[in-house]
Amino acid sequence: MSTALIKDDAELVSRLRTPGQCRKAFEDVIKLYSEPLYHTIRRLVPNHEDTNDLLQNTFVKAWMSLENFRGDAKLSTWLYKIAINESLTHLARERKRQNLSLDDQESAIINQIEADEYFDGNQADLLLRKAIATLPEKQRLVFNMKYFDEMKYEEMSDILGTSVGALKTSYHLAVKKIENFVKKNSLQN
Amino acid sequence: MKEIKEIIPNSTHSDGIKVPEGYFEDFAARMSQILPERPELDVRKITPPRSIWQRVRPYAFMAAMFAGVWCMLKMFTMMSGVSTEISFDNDPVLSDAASNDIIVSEIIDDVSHYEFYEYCDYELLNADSLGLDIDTSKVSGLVIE
Repeated sequence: MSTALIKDDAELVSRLRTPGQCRKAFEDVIKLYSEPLYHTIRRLVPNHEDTNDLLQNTFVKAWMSLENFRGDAKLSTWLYKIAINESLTHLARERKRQNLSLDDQESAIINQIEADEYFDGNQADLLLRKAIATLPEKQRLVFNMKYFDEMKYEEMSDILGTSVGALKTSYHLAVKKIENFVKKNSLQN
Repeated sequence: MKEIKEIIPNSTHSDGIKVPEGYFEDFAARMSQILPERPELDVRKITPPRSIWQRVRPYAFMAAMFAGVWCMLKMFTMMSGVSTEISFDNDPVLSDAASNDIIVSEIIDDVSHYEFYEYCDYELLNADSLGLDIDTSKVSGLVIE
C-alpha cells in the first residue's frame, strides 16, 4: 500500500452521505481502496485466499456500519482500522481453531510465506518478509505502516490509538529484531 | 538506528506481494454484487428543542447592533468638533439679525433700562473721546419711567 491511501476524501464522504448517491459512492470507495487495503491485510495474513475473504468482509462491514462513520476521522483511517481489526481477529480465530500458540502460528506463517505463489520479490525481500513475520502483531503493524506505507506517526497514532512515542519505540524495537533475525539467518546460510 | 537498507542491502522496499491476474479490475464489480441492500442513510438531523436564549438571541444581537451604530454616530459627532448649539457666533442668520437695528429694537425687547443707560453712557463716552458732536440735550431729555 502506498501513501495514496491517505487522501483527502471529503468529496467522497459528502457523496456517501447524500441519499441516492450512497451506493455509487461506496463502489468508488471500493475501487479506490481495495488495492491498498489488500496489501495491508496480506502483510498480516500471508495467503491470497484469506486476504480476499478479509478484504470483502472489511468492505461489507464498512458498508453496513456507514452510519457509524461520523466523518471526524479520515475515511481511509476508518477503513484501515476495520481492515486491521478483521485481520487480527482472523489470526486470533485461526490460533484458537488450530489450537496454536503464538510461536506455532509464527512458524506456520513463515511456511506459508515460503510457499506463497503470489510473491515476486527477490531473496532479500523474502528474508525481510520472514523477519517481519517473527515480530509481535503490534510491532508488525507499526513496521508495515512505517516502512512500506511510509505513513507518518501521527496518522498511525489515529489508526492504532497509540501515542506517537510508543509507536516510535515499537518501530525501533521492530528494526532491532529484524536485524537480529537477519544476522541469525545469514549465519545459518 | 540502522536503516533496513543497511540491514538487508538487496531489499527493494517493496513487499513483493502480487495478486491473480485482473484481481483488482474485477473486485469492485464482485463486491457490488455481494453488498447487501440497505436503506439510504437518513441524513436529516433531529432538531433539538431551542432554549430561551436561542430564541431571544437574534433580537439581542439586533438590539446590540443598533446600540453599536448609535454609539458610532455619537462618537463621530464628538470627534468632528462641530457644535450643534446655535449661537450668534456660528449662525450667520442670527448674526445678521443681531446687526439689524430694527430687529433688535422691535424683536429683542428684553433689554432692561439699566442696560440701556449703560449703553447710552458708553456711546456718549466714546463720542466725547472721539470728538464727535452729539446733542446731549436729546439724551438727557429722555424720561425714564
